[in-house]
Amino acid sequence: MNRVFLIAIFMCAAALAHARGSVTLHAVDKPAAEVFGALMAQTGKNFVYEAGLLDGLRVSVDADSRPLKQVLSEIFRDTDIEYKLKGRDVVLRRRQVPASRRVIEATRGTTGLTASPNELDELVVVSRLETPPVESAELGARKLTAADMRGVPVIMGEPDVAKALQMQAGVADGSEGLAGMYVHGGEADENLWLLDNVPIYQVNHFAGLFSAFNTEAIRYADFFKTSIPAKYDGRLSSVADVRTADGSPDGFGGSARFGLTSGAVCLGGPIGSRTTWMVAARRSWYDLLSAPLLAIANSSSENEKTRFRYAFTDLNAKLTHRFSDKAKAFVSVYAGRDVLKTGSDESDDNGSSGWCDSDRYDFSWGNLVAQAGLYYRFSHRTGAEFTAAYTRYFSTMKRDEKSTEFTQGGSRTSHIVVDTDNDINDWIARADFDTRLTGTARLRYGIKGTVHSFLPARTYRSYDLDDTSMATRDSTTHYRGGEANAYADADWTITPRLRVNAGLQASLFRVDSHTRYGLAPRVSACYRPAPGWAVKAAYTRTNQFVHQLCQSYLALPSDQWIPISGDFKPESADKVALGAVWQPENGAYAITAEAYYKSMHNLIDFRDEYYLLPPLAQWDARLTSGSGTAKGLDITLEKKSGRLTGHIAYSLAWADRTFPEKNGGRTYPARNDNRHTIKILLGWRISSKVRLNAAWTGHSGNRYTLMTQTWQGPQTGAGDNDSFGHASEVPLRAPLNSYRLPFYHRLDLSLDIQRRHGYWTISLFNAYCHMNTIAVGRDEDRYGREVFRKVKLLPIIPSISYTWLF
Amino acid sequence: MAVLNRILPLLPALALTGCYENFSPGVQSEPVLCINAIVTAGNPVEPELSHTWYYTDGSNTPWQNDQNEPDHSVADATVRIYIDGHPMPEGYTAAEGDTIRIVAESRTYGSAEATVTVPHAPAITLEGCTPRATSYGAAGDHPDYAMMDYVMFDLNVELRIDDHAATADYFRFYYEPVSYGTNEHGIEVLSRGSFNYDAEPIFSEHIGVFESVTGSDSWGFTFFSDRQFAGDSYTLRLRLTNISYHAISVDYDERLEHCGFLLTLASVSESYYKWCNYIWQCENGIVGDMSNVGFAPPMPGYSNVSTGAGIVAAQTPSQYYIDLTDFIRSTLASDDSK
Repeated sequence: MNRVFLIAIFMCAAALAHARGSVTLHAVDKPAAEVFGALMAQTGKNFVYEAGLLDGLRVSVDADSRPLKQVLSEIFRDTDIEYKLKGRDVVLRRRQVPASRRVIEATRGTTGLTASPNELDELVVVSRLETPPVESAELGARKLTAADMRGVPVIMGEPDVAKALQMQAGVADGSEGLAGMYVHGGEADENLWLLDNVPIYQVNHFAGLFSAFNTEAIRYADFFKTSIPAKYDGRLSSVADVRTADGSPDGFGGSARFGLTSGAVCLGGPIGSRTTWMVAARRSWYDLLSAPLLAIANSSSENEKTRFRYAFTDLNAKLTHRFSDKAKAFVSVYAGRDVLKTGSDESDDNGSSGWCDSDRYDFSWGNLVAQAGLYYRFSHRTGAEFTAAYTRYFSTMKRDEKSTEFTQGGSRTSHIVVDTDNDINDWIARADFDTRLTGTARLRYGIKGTVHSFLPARTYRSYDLDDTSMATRDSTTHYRGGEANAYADADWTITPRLRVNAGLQASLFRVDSHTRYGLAPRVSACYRPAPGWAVKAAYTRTNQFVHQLCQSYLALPSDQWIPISGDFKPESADKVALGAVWQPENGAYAITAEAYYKSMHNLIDFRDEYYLLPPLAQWDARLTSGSGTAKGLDITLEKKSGRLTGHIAYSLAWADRTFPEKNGGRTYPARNDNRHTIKILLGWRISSKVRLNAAWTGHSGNRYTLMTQTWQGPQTGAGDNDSFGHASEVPLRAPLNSYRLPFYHRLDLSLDIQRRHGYWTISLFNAYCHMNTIAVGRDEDRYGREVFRKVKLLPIIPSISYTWLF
Repeated sequence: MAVLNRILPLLPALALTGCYENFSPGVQSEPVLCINAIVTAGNPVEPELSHTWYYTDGSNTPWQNDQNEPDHSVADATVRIYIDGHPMPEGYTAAEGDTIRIVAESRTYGSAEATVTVPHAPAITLEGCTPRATSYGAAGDHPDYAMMDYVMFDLNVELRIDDHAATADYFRFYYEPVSYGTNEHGIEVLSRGSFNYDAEPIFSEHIGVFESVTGSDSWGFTFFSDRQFAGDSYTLRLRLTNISYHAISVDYDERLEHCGFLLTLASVSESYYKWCNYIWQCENGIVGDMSNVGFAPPMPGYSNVSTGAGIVAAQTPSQYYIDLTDFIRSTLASDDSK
């Protein structure tokens, strides 16, 4: 009956709330949380309050087109709760608690500027965009706020959206401590990362140790792994739509975080009454730490100097202007860059002769996203978001090697330069519309056009020796293409118990004079047999027209995105899923279960022994096409309020691949074919000032190709370097990924301690120092006997940071 | 490990904290036959048969005293060789264009087979040869030696290859100094000098961009394909530097002045090219480096034998001799100090 009431409220709201700032609401003795849900739908306000504040509070209100303030005053007239309107938020608190800046700061946190994890005993953020899982039709959807991200302890204590998502059921991490993400048996390049609706291609810093997203600038991230709205397409496995925060309209504020390896600052505030600004910057200072160490090392030798510098930087800037209640526009820029410079100078001079070698290796890679957007509400039924954007990924790598020999007769100099770059440039224009057809039906639709430019590699090589010069320039095909997309997505509550979401995205992708198309239908349904219960089913088809070539599991600047070309067909996946949700009315707990089966087609991967083909050959020659399946069951138990919050997630999964030209055509397990995975994420509010976060991950080991047999290589005596003809022991090919590495488990902890002007975060990565096996090597022991060796990586790593709030 | 050496600074925490632990994976596997044969046109076919072994059993394998290598020979195998589908005749020597099939069977290790076609000799033409002396000197009136001559010189060679059309061809270049031998000080009269692999870009065609910019070079690797000049001609620009000619003799010995370089360009089978490329990739390539520390899939050995163990390859060389006698003589004759 409560559901019926709530739906009725929504229907009334849609039909009657014709003026911004006024609400129409009829409720008699109903739970306050439900009533606020209706208010959120009508006003677009977020409600921010401490957990437990609304427990037991029941509300009666009768309002027709009345200002929100009046309605709120009426609701709380006879309670010990007061409210305050702060921009887009309504902050609720008990009257006996004097107004404190803590609440204000917490409010800023919800708008993404800053948040202290211990400002309130517990902060419950109810976003207008967040639909309880028991009510939505979607399966496998999750919204992560900046506070959620901060609640996941990670390596080096750097809050990270990618690592927060890795704690979700069905999401496998990459190499230990790194940001790779494998969703439901997919690959790392099958996740669509969006920054304010714009694709971002390189989502990692520091080979994946950090993600490209500065949490200080993030408001929230929507994550879809099963029911993917028709708005999104282009990747097979998941979508992560990261939204940056607007500046606070209430005044200047911000935060500054200082960690061992990096620091970040975020500032924001109003410009006049309608405009806000936000600037967030992050920089690693690994180079500042390494510089004195290098200086000491270099001082010990006059003839040998080593160069090294690594740094990454991020900059987010956003300017938002509200023209009216109907129109809001923004311009934003994101620039992220990694720089690595290394090399050495060596020399030897004995007076009559000598030599001098100098080599420099300069690497730089990153993203640039610039965009402008306009939100416009045509009527109380229809709103739209218009976006024009430019997104660029770039990577440049240069080697400059100079060698000089001095003799009494003169000198001889050789000079080698190799300079290469690869980049992607996308120009995007899109329009997204949202129309509330009736109180129970909503239609989202839109179009998008993209001009792509891919340059996978362009290399310049020069070689000079005395009077001889040689220079070559080689470039792989410069792909220029276009992409057009159109989608429609309807969400319809057919009856109070049944809700259906159905959509379709149509795509045209043209490159190399070949046009490929894709249709991606999506259907999901939710049936609520009883209050608090929901049974769901979903079908999702996804298409992917670009893929990333990675020769390693790390995120390296040499990784290249290339479009589908040649005879390859677009990758696609069909996924069906069944699920169930239980969530009590107070929303304190939730149990979700999801069983899925995913069939992947036209997958693209490197052939066996692709590295033996000349690298400048057409991409097609090094790649091959195949298929894959993934199936499994995800179960998550979540506790959302109280002193102890968090979730326990269990996944049972299978994932395999079949490529006619790999593994002899036989089906083989995917690398992340982790049969059992348990993830426990807990946040324990020890006191009003101290909070302990713990994340434990345990899963069946990754799959690995273990080659146990060895054979004697031939004696070829090729040329003047025997190593190229002779190898005494060669590993015999073994079935791909046929060996399972030992069980992986790790505990990460972080402790947040509230201080007067900020908070400390003390983190322990791998708290009980279980060094996990990431590979198996072949080596010799101290007695020269051949042995297999577990390759282990990361021990316990402590870190500390301080975040200053102002 | 060249690539890794450049990347390690990027991952100091990882590299400094990683560790290894010996263990037994408990995976059973059966040994199989291995066939190795490098066939050279004009020479007999002599396959070597062995068997694979469990990696950790290597130390327990009996060692052959003469070669100081483990004995993995197969005692119960029979080997049959077919030339163009027919049993190999007695006294056969490999000829260009022949397809050689080697079949081995063993009661213990099963069977294995491999096929290779002997490539045609490459057509080569010397387009240019420019020796340039950088320093030289002669004995003059030395009281003890009639000959005490040296010439330091560079050599630029341009060698044209005319490629066979319609086939994927692979080549290997190498050279040898040819001289009387060692002088009275035990030094080769003519040294190899330094071969500048970077001067000829085609020797680097197997090197990926990332390997190139991280310092991997083609040193020692002179295999290449005709991918860039299929059916056409290509001129190799070969540069040798710091070549030394040292003739030391108590008496004048004209034979010491006769020297030169023997350039060899061999057509090699695809299996030969891929085998040597595999070795390079293991030692210098990004996948080889990364797989050693678990950041890339492991690299199984390349093989064209049905069991996955062994290489059956073929080559047909073409040679050109560059006679430097006149250059040495004229250079020494111009020594004013003589």
